[in-house]
Amino acid sequence: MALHNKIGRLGEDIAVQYLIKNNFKIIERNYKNKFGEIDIIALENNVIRFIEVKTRSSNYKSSLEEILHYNQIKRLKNSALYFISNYHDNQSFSFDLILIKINIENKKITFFKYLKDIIYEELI
Amino acid sequence: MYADLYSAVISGIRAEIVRVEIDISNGLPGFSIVGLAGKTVRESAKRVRSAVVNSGFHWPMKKITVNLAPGDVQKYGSHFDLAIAVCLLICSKQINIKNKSKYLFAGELTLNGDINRVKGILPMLLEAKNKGIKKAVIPLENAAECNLVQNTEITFLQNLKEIDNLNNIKGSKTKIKNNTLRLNRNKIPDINSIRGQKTAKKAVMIAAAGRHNLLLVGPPGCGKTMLAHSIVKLLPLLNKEELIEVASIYSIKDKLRDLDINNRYRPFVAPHHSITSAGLIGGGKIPVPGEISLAHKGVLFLDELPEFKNKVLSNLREPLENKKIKIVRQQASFIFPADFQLITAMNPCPCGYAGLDDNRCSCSERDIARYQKKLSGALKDRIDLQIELLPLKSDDIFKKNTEQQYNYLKKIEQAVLAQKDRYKDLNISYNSQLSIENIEKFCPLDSDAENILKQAVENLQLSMRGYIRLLRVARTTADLNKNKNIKSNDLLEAVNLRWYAEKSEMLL
Repeated sequence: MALHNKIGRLGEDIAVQYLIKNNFKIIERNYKNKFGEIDIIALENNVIRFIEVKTRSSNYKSSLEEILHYNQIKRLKNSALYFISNYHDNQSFSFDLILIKINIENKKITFFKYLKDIIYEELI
Repeated sequence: MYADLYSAVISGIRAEIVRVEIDISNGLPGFSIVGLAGKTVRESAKRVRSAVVNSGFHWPMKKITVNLAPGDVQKYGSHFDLAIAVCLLICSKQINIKNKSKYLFAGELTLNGDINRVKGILPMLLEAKNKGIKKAVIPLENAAECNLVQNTEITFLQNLKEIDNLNNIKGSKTKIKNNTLRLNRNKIPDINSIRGQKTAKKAVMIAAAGRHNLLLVGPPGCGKTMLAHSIVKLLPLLNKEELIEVASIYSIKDKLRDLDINNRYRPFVAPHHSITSAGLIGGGKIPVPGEISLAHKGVLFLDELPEFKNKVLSNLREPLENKKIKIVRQQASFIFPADFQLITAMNPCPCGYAGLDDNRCSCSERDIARYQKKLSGALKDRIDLQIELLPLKSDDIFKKNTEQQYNYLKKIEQAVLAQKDRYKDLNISYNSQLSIENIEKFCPLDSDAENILKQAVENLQLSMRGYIRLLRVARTTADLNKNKNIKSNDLLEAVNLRWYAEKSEMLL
């Protein structure tokens, strides 16, 4: 595995640990369908949360909040809708984002952020 | 989860009750508004979300659908914010309002949850009252106009946070002092403070008593504008129904600051001559009332009459006859009331000094003719009183109100009462509204007066309409002089006050 893939995998593990510690129930990891991939699907207070994890090394200078691309959001949304319609109809759900920065030399987390409800549609 | 509430939308000069419904369901988190919502209503989605969150409430991350019923009426205005926000809070069980269907909600939210003033509260409250909605929640800034509506329990809010207390308030806040509305009214001049111009003052008095239209012609600086403005204090005050009718229109235009609700003076509207047709008679894609509707039950004053665009002025013909204006659009037609008294002022020529003895006028005959021709005959014919003013003599200028304070008000009051008494069987109340069928019945002349009238008609070559107008003015002068029949004096006065129309030297 290339380094950036390792970092990504590490970040997802860190995120899952965090979620379990905070009483989330993990339903799926790396769920895939024809619309795309979802990193983590978890259940909290009867709400299904689709979570995208973004991990970078601490050398990464620009802000992580801007990292999620429009097309990626669209993919995330569509695959989530597919998941919902197939397995969990009539459930309330939400989209979250976890941002992590890791210092590779001393293996420490230098940045961690859990953003809730990142997708909200105003259909007007 | 479902909840509904009532709000209203303005259509023309009336309000229509709108039911705001909200459904919160599972699905892709989002917010949508349906029900023929205009742009301002759709924008409320963003304001409501921020206001709800910033007022310390929780925004449900679910699929939220807002419906505004009935679905075939165009909704516009920012006042739906409050109803949508409150309905959402009820729907998501964050607050509970007892008897929520007895309330009318209207108010615009800011992003931090404050509630802003909105247009058209007064007609909304009136319509709600008609439909049996006896309580209302509205912005504190709109408090002044609410005193006109009785028997409605009104709660004023400043911030969305206060909505929690709604169940505990028991109509104690309805009594809010009127002075929350700061008026931007110009000082109205007193007619007794104007020097000289005896004839003109008399004409203003007659105009005030009989609600006649008035044209003042004179050189610059002789007091035309001041005289016209001074009529406000002479006119009978608005009665309760008139006040509500007028205030409704002002409420829709958000112009209540220009209306003196406390003193009940009639509105005095003086648009600048650059005004457009839509501005004068009303218009727009969603028609709103124009200046003539703001002058409803009051005075429309057009200063520098020939400077107005001809096209704009010709719009006035119908409203002057029908006392209302109908504006037709593809989706509906709107009728705006326009029962105004027209007072106009102009110079006799471009330089302003035509007809004076001192040969000061520098205009050519052609200039003068062209200037006066700008005024269409049709409009001029609808003006009962047409008088010319002369510049003040030096004596008049230095005479410091030695004239005794003439009690115009008392005379006018008595003349108005006489007219009301006379026309109590008809649905008119002023001499200027006398129609051709009734004019001879209500204007009996003494034998002297009849002779004078015959001479006047012959010598002045009066048209039929001119004859009717002369009689109307004579009727008012007779009322002012407490004469039951029109006497020769009254008639002569009336002839004198139409002099400009028929035989002035200022005219070519």
